Amino acid sequence: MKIYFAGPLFTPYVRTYISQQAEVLRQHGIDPFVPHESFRPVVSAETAQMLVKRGLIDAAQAAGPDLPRLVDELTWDSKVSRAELGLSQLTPEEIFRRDYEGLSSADAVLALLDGSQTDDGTACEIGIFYGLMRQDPGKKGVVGLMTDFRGINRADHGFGTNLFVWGVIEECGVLVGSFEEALAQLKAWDTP
Amino acid sequence: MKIYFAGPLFTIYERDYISACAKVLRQHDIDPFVPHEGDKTIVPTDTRSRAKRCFDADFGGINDASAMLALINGAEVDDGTACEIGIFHSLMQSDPSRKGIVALHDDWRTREGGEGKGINSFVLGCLKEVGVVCHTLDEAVEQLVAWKLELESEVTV
Repeated sequence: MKIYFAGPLFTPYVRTYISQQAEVLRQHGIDPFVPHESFRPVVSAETAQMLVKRGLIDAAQAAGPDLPRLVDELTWDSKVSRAELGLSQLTPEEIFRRDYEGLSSADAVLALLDGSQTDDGTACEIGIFYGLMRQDPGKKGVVGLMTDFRGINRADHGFGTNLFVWGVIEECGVLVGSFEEALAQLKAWDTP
Repeated sequence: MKIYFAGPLFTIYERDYISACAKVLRQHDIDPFVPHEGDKTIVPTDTRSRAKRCFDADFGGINDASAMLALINGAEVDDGTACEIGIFHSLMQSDPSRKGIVALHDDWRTREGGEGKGINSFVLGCLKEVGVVCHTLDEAVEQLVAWKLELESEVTV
């Protein structure tokens, strides 16, 4: 089963968390589209050498398997520009096009809802997927995952989620307060 | 033309502003569904959850609309509003008679070159694909009126 892993991917620690959980999903036979991983570049040997010369990575990293992720993180942190890597500029149109491809081809969505509100990009993706589900009964649903204690403390009130977003998730899936519960729901949907 | 008016409606001044904009729209013969203006009376036999009641009422408004006006001011786009933008984008894919989304935006934190973090790229990309971002109510009304005229001419053909 393909899923789209939505969440606020603006900081290195959220990206790390999402990537780690994506790995757990893969171990359970679930195939997650992880937006920030989809932008990882193919790094040529020349580019790797240039980054070593500039002291942004070391020689071992340049030769290691983690190179695409490291280079991608450098672009997120503006340590090196996409232009310097010979990559096209990521416009909102391009980001939307790529993510929409992952979203529309997914069977389900796992949405990380943490933050003082649901991240607006994540909320938009939940809405798009709900709309797609109305046209395609083969799609399974949305799991809203809250790990933010401000939400966990309000588990009985939709985990403190915006009433409309809560309503949409209730309509097409579930809200849960732990990754284990999210995984259990996704596995249940994955069972033929 | 029926439209859905999305926006953060959590404070009295937000609701007042949205209602004032809705009044201007009505003067231009545009019929906005304004979530907070709906009847909030709860029938005792209604066993639906609060979230379900909110969803049913608002989704009904979105589904009936030919276009959406979305107020996207704030440090980020309000999550309910962003979710509604996403839903309308999907509804448009299967119903070409729907015109699009007009985003109304004049928050300096998310303006280009402003001090804030800008508008979320995915949301902005979504808006650009199916609509426009306007900076004044006049521009927004102008776009909605143009779509209304288009819709009326399509109906007569």
